[in-house]
Amino acid sequence: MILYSIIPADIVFDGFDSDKKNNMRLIELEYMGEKIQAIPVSNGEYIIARLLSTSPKTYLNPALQPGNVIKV
Amino acid sequence: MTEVNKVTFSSPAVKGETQQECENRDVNNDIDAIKELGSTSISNPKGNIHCLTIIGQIEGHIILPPQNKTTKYEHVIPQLVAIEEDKSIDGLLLILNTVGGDVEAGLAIAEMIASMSKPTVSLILGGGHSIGVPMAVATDYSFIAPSATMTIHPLRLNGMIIGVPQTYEYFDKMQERVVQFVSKNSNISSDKFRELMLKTGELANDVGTVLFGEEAVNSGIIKAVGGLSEALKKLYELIELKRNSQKLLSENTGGEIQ
Repeated sequence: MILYSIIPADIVFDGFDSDKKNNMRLIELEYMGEKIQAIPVSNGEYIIARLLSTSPKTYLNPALQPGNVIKV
Repeated sequence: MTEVNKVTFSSPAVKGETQQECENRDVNNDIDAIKELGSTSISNPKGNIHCLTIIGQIEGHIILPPQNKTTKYEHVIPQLVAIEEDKSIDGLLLILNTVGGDVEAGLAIAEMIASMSKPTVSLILGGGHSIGVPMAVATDYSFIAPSATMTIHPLRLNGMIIGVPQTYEYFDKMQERVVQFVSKNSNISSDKFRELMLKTGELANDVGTVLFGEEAVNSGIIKAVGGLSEALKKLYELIELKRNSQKLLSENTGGEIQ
């Protein structure tokens, strides 16, 4: 892989071979027919972090606002 | 529900069904469509647009550690295919604020956007650095915010590097892919772009150039300085242009294309 970025490679790949930061990793799931990235909180509960839709209307849906706690 | 503002749909009533029942069925169908497919029948007469945001690192073959905010190749490519295929979508707005990333993934996304038949407009906000440059020029028209910057610098090889002349040749070939793509899709020549890439004295600890909004336009890489309203206006203009040419085409062929 060739990294073409203004961020130095050692910062980008920092922690690449350790899993101590793995709890920061976002989970991808489907909610209300939309693909989202979420932070797991507790059993079956997630906080919406990011929507992956390209449709502008999805972002106006109050149920899909980032920060909302959802149950899947 | 008030009678005054009620929209009536013109679907034929099933035999024996009253007008009221028929309307209820239509409304239920619409609600079902919203629930099941996430789609609404409400459309913008100027054209329905979709927006793709490219933020952080472009992530390709390797999953980057979680401190990186990434735009993933496997998310973006199917979305581009869907936008190209969906008849209800008329255009794509590409918002860029990226620090670069995987060369292969970035070029793949740029090639996909460049080969789309639907009108596309890009807008750089904040930064469109490194591999963000080919992505920005891949659209039909490109905008840069006045305060946004673009860093043009040479590729770097990471990992184990063998100190032989062939390494340089390989490296030069990889760099040429970016140079060729940018010069083909914008008004800058490949020589001028290479010159910006290899300039010294601009960056604190690297070779290359930082272009501010206006400078990026003057160099020929980006078409215009602007913001969201300018980008949307241009996109609707391109959609209108495409509709008119299609209309003309269908008239000339005796209305074969409906």
